[in-house]
Amino acid sequence: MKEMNDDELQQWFEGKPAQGEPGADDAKAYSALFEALGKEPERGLPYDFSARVMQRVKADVKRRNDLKWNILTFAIFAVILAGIYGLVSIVNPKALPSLLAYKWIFLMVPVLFIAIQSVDQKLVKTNIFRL
Amino acid sequence: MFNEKEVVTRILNGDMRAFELLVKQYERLVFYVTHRLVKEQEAAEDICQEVFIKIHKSLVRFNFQSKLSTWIARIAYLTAINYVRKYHRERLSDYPDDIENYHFTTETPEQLLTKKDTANYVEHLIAQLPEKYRTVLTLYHLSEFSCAEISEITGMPEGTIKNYLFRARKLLKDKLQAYLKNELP
Repeated sequence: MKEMNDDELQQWFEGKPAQGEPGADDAKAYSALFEALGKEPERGLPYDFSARVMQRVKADVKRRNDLKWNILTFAIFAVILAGIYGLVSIVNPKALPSLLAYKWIFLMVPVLFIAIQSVDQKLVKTNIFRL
Repeated sequence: MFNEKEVVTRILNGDMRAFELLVKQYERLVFYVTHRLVKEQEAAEDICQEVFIKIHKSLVRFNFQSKLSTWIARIAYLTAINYVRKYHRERLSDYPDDIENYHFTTETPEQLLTKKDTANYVEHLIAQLPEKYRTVLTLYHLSEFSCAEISEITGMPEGTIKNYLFRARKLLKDKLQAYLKNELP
């Protein structure tokens, strides 16, 4: 019976049918190799890996939610402001030019509010981890 | 038993405990894929965390057209390969195309010591193989993916994967055979 070549030997070690006789040296080497290839690495992830991932994911989700909330706050404020301006233009059109002069100040209010809130959150977070 | 569809649905509904279950289920798979490509343990850990954050963000786009494990392994593979390409560019260009002519580095006394154990010796040899060979060997033998699944994960044609698998194992077998005969090169 002919001796198996490398291709046939590899198939044989994978449990697939192969014709021929395995050569003793090759079979021994392939057996050790397949065993070693299936061996898990000695070093792995730390035992608290999932907890660390959850901490990062939660922080990431919170950051994304905060961003959505901030955009929504700004959008609501802008809509309310536009509504007030619209109402004033109907009820008292003469007062509109003087109100329009302050439009950037009004728009800066939510921007400042959001900025203060995010700085505050960052400071609180830093202090919590310091404790 | 881990039910992919149920867990994914729960995660998409905001259940963080379900996501923790997913992390525990697949952390070993992600680590296996990553550690063979990224040698530094700390960097490999960081990449594993990055992979799970990406999974959480993009799970909404997972449509069950493949197994969840295949999808996760693809994210892990691409994240690790991007890291290697960014920080170890020289290693990727150092390999010859024909692996039969590949020469392992000259072994130092420290490296020879690792040869005491066959598994350690094989690990030492694998670490020197080109990154594509390492990935294919890991996904096939350690993570037990089929060649078709590895093709889906890496984007390489199935024939290429079979070829890489055969050539890498033949090369490793030849080295191991010499080692087992106490004919250290």
